Amino acid sequence: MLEVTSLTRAFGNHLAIADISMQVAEGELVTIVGPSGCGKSTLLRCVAGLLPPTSGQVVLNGVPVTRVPDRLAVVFQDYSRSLYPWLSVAANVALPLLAATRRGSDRGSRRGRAVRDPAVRDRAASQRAVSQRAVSQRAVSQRAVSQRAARRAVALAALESVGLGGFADRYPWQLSGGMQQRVAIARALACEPVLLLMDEPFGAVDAQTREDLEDLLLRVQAERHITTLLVTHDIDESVYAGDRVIVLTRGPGRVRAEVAVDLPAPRDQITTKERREFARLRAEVSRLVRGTPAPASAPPEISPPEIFQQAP
Amino acid sequence: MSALPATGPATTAAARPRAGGRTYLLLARLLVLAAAIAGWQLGTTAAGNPYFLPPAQIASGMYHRWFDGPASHLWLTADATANLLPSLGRMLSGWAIAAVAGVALGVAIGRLPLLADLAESLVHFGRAVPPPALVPVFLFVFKIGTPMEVAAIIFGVIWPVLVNSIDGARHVDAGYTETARAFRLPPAQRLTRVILPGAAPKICAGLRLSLALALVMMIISEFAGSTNGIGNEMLTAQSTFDISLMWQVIGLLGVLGIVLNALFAVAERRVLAWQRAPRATS
Ligand SMILES: Nc1ncnc2c1ncn2[C@@H]1O[C@H](COP(=O)(O)OP(=O)(O)O)[C@@H](O)[C@H]1O
Ligand SMILES: [Mg+2]
Repeated sequence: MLEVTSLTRAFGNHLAIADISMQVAEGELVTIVGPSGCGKSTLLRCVAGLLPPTSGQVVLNGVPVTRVPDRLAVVFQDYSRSLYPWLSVAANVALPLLAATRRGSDRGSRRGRAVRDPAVRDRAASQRAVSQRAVSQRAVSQRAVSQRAARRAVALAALESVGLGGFADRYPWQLSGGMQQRVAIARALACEPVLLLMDEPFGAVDAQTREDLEDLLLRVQAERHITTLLVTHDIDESVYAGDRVIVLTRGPGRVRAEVAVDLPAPRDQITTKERREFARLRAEVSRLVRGTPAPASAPPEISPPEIFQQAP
Repeated sequence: MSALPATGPATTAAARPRAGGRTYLLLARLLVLAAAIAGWQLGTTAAGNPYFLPPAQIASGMYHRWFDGPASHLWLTADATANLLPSLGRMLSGWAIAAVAGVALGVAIGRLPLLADLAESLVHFGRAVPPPALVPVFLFVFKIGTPMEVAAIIFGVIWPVLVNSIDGARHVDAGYTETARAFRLPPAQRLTRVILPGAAPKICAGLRLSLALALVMMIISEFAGSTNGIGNEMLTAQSTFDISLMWQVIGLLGVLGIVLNALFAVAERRVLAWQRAPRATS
């Protein structure tokens, strides 16, 4: 689904990430963990099409990413700089919907590009037909009103799904940090992404809120199977949330190892973290992040059951 | 932690002493003002100098000259309709045109590096020229009359708007603009929902400066040449040695400045309500 090949990005002479290759399957939740400054954000911004790579490429569903792909959503770490304080919570969540609808029509007509997604193409065609008909000013404004109402309805549903149903008409700065990050998640979900990118999304909230947000993410993931790339510097989080953990080296970031996480679903903050597999995976990822060699008896490639048999 | 209940009392607790402080400050300010006016009244009455009039006399003169009209004319006298309204009209239209043009140009220059390279030295040159120096030029181009005065006001007051809009648009938080890109916001929406609100605090600061400057340019352009307006009344007062009218015009300009600034502050508070919000983290 997502294929990253030999991705390298330099800022001037400074290499931020070097030769990163990885693949993410449809519906998979992959966590990327590495020390701070190792290029996690750079990697994510390249995948999002926000930053052109120096070399290498990103391919999403067979299409090379050269600009921000449609139906991609990002949750940034710093919600205070990514939610707009001058827009209400609902307006913040509805904003990307505006982009999605507009984009469909202008892709079809003005840019004259081939549209792959048939749904988008149909919508573009119908919007063009509507605009070609000589519609009266009043009909146009009525349509705008109903579209706005439709966007608001989608935004309210998204807010409901993250447990913020009653906060649509507040402003982001009236909410706590954890709630603001829920708004950011609702905004990402509202545009029904095929790929969700999260850059240390829970790094700025306290431990309890972080656990709640992790569980919210896992619940959403279980319901919608959105392919997700979650960047974190928290080792527990990378193991707890991920189907697979990709460990990056200290900067310039390279892939040090990939660790499959076989913890059963649904995961639970207490019982999952009690499991011996969790402790083992946590230790393994921890060693990989620090760059200390694993004990000879437990090489990273061995699957969990064998470990338990070998453990004294 | 569900911090909503926690932030509730915290913000009100923080707001309460501030609100109290503001009331005291307001009282103190009024007291100083009252004392100054009382001193002025007593001093001028005692001195009896014909060039320095007591404020009560000036105020009543202002009232009878401009605000003693019929209710159907909003209490404006014929003198006010003939002079005050044209002055205000020219000032506000000049300011409004400068505001629209300044914001449009400023945002374009602030967001388009190529345009900035081309235009920025021009802007700094324009800003450096003292605005009143332009009045004789416009007097040549337009002759005496409203177009000359409005043009002088526009070119006199556009610079603070322009410079602040450039600065505001250029320094919109990169987090805001990157989010807009990540969610594929089309250019028009990016401008109206991200760049303009993000630059609004700076833009408002520029607009406020230029509003004060517009009053200055209004009076200067009328001094240079006009057939009506309160600047023209001032010229008449000067040539007829009407000391009382001179003081009335000065008083009127002061009142206008205060009223305009207060109205602008009210509008600004509404537009920038989000800015007074406590910033949780940064
Ligand atoms: N826009 C930029 N300009 C120059 N250097 C940058 C830029 N963004 C990131 N870097 C550098 O790239 C390296 C990786 O940064 P980043 O991707 O933010 O790391 P992480 O997210 O893992 O903490 C750092 O050394 C950082 O200084
Ligand atoms: Mg980062």
